[in-house]
This record gives sequence, structure tokens and C-alpha cells, in this order.
Amino acid sequence: MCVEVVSRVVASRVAAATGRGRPLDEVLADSLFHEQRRLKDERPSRQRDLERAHWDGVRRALPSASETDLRELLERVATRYVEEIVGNFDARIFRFSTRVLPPALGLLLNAVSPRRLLGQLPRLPDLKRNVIFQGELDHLRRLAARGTLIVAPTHQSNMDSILIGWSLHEIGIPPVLYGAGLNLFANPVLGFFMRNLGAYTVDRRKKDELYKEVLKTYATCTLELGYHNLFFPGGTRARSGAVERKLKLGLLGTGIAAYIHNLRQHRPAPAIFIAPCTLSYQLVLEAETLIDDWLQEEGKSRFIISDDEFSRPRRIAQFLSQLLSLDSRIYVTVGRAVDPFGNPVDDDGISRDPVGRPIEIARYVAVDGAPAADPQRDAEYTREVGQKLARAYLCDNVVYATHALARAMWRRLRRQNPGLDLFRLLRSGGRERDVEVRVALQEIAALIEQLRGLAAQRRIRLDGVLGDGDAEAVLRDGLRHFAIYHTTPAVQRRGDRLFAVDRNLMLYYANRLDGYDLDGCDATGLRPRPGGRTEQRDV
Amino acid sequence: MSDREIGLLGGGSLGQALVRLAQDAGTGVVGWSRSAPSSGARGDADWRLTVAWEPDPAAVVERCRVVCFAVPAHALPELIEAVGAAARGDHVWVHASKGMTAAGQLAHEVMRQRTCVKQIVALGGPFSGLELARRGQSALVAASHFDCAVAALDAALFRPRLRLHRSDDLIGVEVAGALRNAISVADGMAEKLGEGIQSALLARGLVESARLGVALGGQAGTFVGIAGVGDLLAQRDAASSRNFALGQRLGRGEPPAAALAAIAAPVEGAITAAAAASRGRALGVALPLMHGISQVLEQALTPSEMIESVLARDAGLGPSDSLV
Repeated sequence: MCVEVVSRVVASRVAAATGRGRPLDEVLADSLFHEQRRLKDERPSRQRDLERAHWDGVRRALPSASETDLRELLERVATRYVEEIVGNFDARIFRFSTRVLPPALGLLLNAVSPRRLLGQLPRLPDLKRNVIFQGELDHLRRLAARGTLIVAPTHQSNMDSILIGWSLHEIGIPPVLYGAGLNLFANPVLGFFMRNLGAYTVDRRKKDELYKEVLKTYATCTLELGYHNLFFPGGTRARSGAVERKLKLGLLGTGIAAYIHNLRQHRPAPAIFIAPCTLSYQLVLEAETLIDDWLQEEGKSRFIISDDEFSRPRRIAQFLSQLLSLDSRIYVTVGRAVDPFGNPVDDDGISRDPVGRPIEIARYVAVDGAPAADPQRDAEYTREVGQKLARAYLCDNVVYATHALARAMWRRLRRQNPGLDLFRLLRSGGRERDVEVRVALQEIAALIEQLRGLAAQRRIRLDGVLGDGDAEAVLRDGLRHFAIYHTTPAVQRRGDRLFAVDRNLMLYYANRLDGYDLDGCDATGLRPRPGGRTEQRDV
Repeated sequence: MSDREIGLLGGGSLGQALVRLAQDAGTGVVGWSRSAPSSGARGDADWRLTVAWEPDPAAVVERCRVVCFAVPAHALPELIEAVGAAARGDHVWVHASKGMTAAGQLAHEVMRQRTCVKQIVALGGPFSGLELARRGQSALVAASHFDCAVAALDAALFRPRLRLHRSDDLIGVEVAGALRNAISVADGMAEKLGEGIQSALLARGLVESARLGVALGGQAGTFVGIAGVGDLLAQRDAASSRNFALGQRLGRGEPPAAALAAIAAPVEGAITAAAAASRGRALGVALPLMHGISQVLEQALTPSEMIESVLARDAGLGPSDSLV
């Protein structure tokens, strides 16, 4: 497969260079520039030395390279990238591992650091009792037999990779390949198993176009070969805590590329299905780090956080055992799949138009009667897929008491301090830092009513107490959960008053209710209601 | 399905213009019109002789990849319903609709909500069907999210004297075109009050148009371009505008029902004003002029009361005076 990936990337780059695209030397110079800059800031290691030597070779060869030399250099760089992405993945081990080894979650939890982790846990949590699978499960199973799936989950925590891997196994979906951040491979034991359970490396520190192209081409090739894939369209974990609305479309676009190749190769099952999957937690393991990062640079400062709660086994153990001891449920909600053009598909894998008529989707990519790629056209189709996913995430998002309590408190805080900007409000807490319980209950009751209205329209899902409890029950449940895990609770009750103890954390949980137009703007007050197309990013 | 033929749904001056432009490009035209004969050609106008008329609009859609919808917005839902089953993924559907449906939908929304077609092009800007047909010289904006759709239209229709501006702001161009008809109604109402007041209303209308466009996902810049200001100015000069004529009648004190009956044809601006006002309310966007026009049509306000209330709002320099 590596050879095929390299050959496609080189062919596409050479074709672009002979047309109106970037010349090969510019493509290589771009990679060289970004990689040298990255390596300059790397900590000394044998790996860094090897990479430096590789790029030094490229630097020396580039100025005097002929067209043939440039092509060879491109091949060399692309080969290095694809080998790094694929690692020691072996399809035979993959099949063996996914068939024989226990479900991914238990395995990975143990692999984080078996002795230390097990020392913290008297017993591994009974996930089957606490993880609820809901939504279009049968639909997903049926589609898996009729084409190739791209499972597209929301992303809040590093636990997501593990949770979704285990969930798909439990739901009865065949093993999937997925791109995982380089930091998750740092542990050699974890890395080995992740690799052979289908994970390939995504190095988000690499910024050059060529790397992204190699990555996308690899994903495309695996889809063509019928490997189900898993992408997190949000890219990194949602720093703000909100449901993702800005999706990265690069990897999602591989669905169309693979479909076109399948049509051209006359493959028997060319269809690609993209299934949204919304993961919902009452508490998020890394909430404190994520919201701090988001507030510093609105989430753009660091693509890889390597020192968060996920890197501390004790915190993982504490989090899981405390969360699950409260009978808190984790929801894995599967939405109805769409084709690579954004049309809904039925259980038989037939795409349907908005009034239910079948669609001959090959026509979407027809140029003079034959399937052909058109980057601008295909990006537009993918943008629509992104919009459909974002909508599904909002509808399938399960809201818990923690979110409702945080939002109600945040709402109150903002109302009490109308002139204060977000950051001052977070720092100072405004004029009044606490709220009378009676007042808070009124806010919660009003919010519950709004949420139940949305739930009746199937625009959101509610966890138990929000669905059938009163404001007092929601308050109790929210406070109980906030108290169990985070170093400082987001909200705390002292006598007849509620205190916003960790306002950043409170904002993080309040943000989960953004996108529903509850207050005419997002919780931060920074963004008004979003328009349509601007919500998606291209990469 | 042919690329050498384009489909035309609807007759009228725009249909006539498109036929001429297609002929110049060497493209055949397959047409359907409510007023066209079921087959063969009609002898009352030369241009009709060159069109292969079909008795059923769906037959046109089945035969052609590029299909032009030259019907007013309020007639679009019914027509789309009729041709929806013949829609295909590689179709390019073009419209020059300058209005909203009574339900407040833009043309592309009607097409998208009822069919599988995604490659939609909206024609906007200061062109008139008659002028295009007569001289073939004009400037227009072809807006689509798909470059290939505009290219297909370009290849099928246009000739050197027609200046085609491409835009990716489908929503902005549709909203600008739709609201300019409603603004023209207000312009007509203010005719007796002088150009100063008329200009102020045009400016307020433009701001509202941009506000609604941006709220729906369009780009503010579109409204100061050819499809926005350009179209608005051209409409003002159009003596034959039904929208302006309706405004004049209302301004003279005619009751709305009588004024509409006297014009004897649907007035897009009147339908759009009410539809836009209602859509604006749902989005939380203030559209006082649109709301005012619809109130005049409901006889809840007189034209002078409406104009006074609109111009009294935010008289000083403030956020509402900026483009959005």
C-alpha cells in the first residue's frame, strides 16, 4: 500500500507542477522549511538526529536538482512520510489482533501502565453497565456490510479513541482504522497495540502540504481497500467544551476520492458511508487543561497537549472509578449515515433525496459521463457532509445536569455583569460571585423548560434527571458530579448560596449548550448565531 | 442527457434573452412554458421558432444537463415539484429569481429541499431580460458554490459582449436580488416625497438586505457590488417595474387590493417584503422596512406612516447605519 500511496502522491504533484500548480522544488522547499523549523524546537533525541540528517540531505540536493532529481527527492520524502504514518502496521496482525485480543478498551487501559493503573483500581469499571449505545445501531451494522464506513465521532477527550474503539466492537462493527495523534504512541506498549488495532500516526506538528497530502492519500487507499475508517472531524479535542461546529474537512474529503477510484476500478461495493457518532460525558477527564488552553489562545496555541490529565494514569483511574461509581452514564449515539455528497442513506445503502427518492450518486462526480475528481466541486460536497455531521452532533448531544447547572449559573453571572468582557468576568467573577440557591433554581427551571422543548423537537437529547427531574434534582446531580473529580469544583453550594468556584471550568461545561440559540449568542457572548458556510474549515 | 442543449423552463423576456444567448453560443434550447404550445413552434415571435418545445417540464429536465428556470419565485415550488423526479446529481440548475416564496424561501432552498440537485447558479445583477434579448450586452453575476456549474453555464450561453462576474456567494446574490424588488415598492411609495427620501429608503433597504443576507450565510461585500447596489440602481430606472408601480399606487392612497388588481400580475416585491419580514423575525434580524411594507399591504400603516417610522429609527450614526 505504501508504494501505491507514494506513487499517487508523486503522480498528482508532478501533474500539478506541469499544469498551473506549484513546481516540485517549491513543494519540497515548503516541506523542508516547516520540518526544519519544527526540528529546531524539538528536544534532542536519536529520532531528531535521524530526521535532521534526512532533511539536511534534502536541503543539500534541492538547489541543483534536475527535474528527475526533484521527482526522486519527492519520492524519498513521501516514502518517509508514509512509512511514519503506517509504522509497522501489518494487515495480518491487524486481523489477528482485532479477532483474538480482548476489546480495545480493557487492553489499552492496561497498556497505559499496567502496574500503576491496576494499583489504583480495585477492579476495572463495568463499562457495559455504564456506557449506553443508542441511535442508529442497526443501520450502521447493515451499512458496514454494504460498503465502507467512515465513522466520524465528536472529540472531547483522549479517552474517545479508546471508548469508540471498544464501542464499535460492542455494537458489532468490524475493526476500523483510525488516525491518532503522535502523543498517543509515546508509550511503547500502548503504541504497539494501537498500531496493530488499526491506529496510524497523525503528526499534527507537521504543517507542510505534502505531509497532509500523503496522509489523505493513505486514508483514501485504505478506504478503497474496504477498511472502515474513523476520523475525528473536529481535528483535535474540543478545547472550549462546545459541540464541534467547525469541522476539518481534509480527511472527510477522502470519502469522495475513494468513491471515485472505486467507480473507476469498477469495484463491486464502491459505496462509502459517513456516520456521525456523538460521545457524551457527564464530566470530561481533561476539562481543566482544555478550557485553560482555549482561553489562552482560543484553542489555537497548542495542537498537542502532552502534559494533560490523560498522561497521568492516576487521574484516569480516579476519573473512571469516581465517575462510574455515581452511576454516571456515557452515551455513544450513532446518527444516520450520509454518502460522500451529504445525502442521507437508507439501511440498504441507497442514497435518498430530501423527499425520499433514490439518487444515482455516481452522477455527482461524472465529467463527460465518466467519474473524475474536481477538487473545488468535491470540496463543496465535503463541506455539505461537514454541515450534516455538525447538525447531527447537536441533535445527538446528550446534556447532563453538569451542563445545565453550569449554563444556568453562567447565564446568571453574565446577566449580573452586563458590561464585563469574558476574560475580566472569568478573572474577577464580577460584582457578585455567588447566587442564592432559590434564584439559581429559577434559572435552572427556565433552562430545563428550554431544553425539554428542544428535546421534543429532537434537537437535543437529555440524560435521565434532565428528562424527568425537577430543578432541585438537576442541581443536586450537577453539584454531586462537580464535587467528585475536578480539583476545584466548577460550582459549589455553601449554605443557601451557590458559588462559581472554578469559573473557567463552569464555562467549559456551559459551552456544551452552545449552538442551540438558547441565549441569542454563545455562552462566551463572543460569537453571535453562526451563518452557514463560514462554519467549516478546509483542513 | 446533452451538453449541447440547455433547458429553459418559463418564457417571458428572460427566457427570450437566454434563447438568444444560447443561439449565439451554438447551443440548442429545449423549452417548456406554460404559454408555449404543447409541441412544434409558435409563430408569434421569431425566438420561439428556434426552441424545441416539450409538453412537460420534466421532459426538459430529463434531456438537458443545464436547466434555466425563468419563472418568478412564487411559481418555483410548484415547478420544482413537477420536475423533481427527473433531477440528477450532475444537473446544473440556473435561476434568475428575484424574490422569495410566500414561505420565505430563497430559490436555491426550494431546489435543495425538494431535489437531489446541488449545483445551483443564481443570476443576479443589473440585467433585464429585454435588454439582454435586444442587445446581448449587459453585466450579470453568476453565483454558485460550484465553479464547474458556472463554467457549464458559461460554455452554454454567453458571448463576448456580456460581462459575466463569478461569485461564490449564492445566498448573498439571491437575497440582494429578492429584496431589491421589495425595496422598489418602498421607492415607489416615496416618489412624491422627493429623491432625498427615496435615496434614504434605498440605503436603508440595502442595509436590511445585507443584514438578512449575512444572517443567512451570505457575504456583506456582495451587497455593495453589482448584485447589490448595481441591481438596485438599475431597478430604479426601470420604468416598467411592477414593484415601483405598486409603490406609486399605494403612495397615491390606493387601497392595496385595488393597487394589486390594477397591476394584474403577481408583484414579487409585495410577496417578498412579507416573506423577508417573517424570515427576519425568525432569525432575530431587524428589517423595519420589509416589515413596514408588509404592514402597508395589510393596511396596518399608511405609506407615509411607514416611511416616517423607518426613517425615524436610528437616525444618528450607529451600528444600524453601517452595512450590516
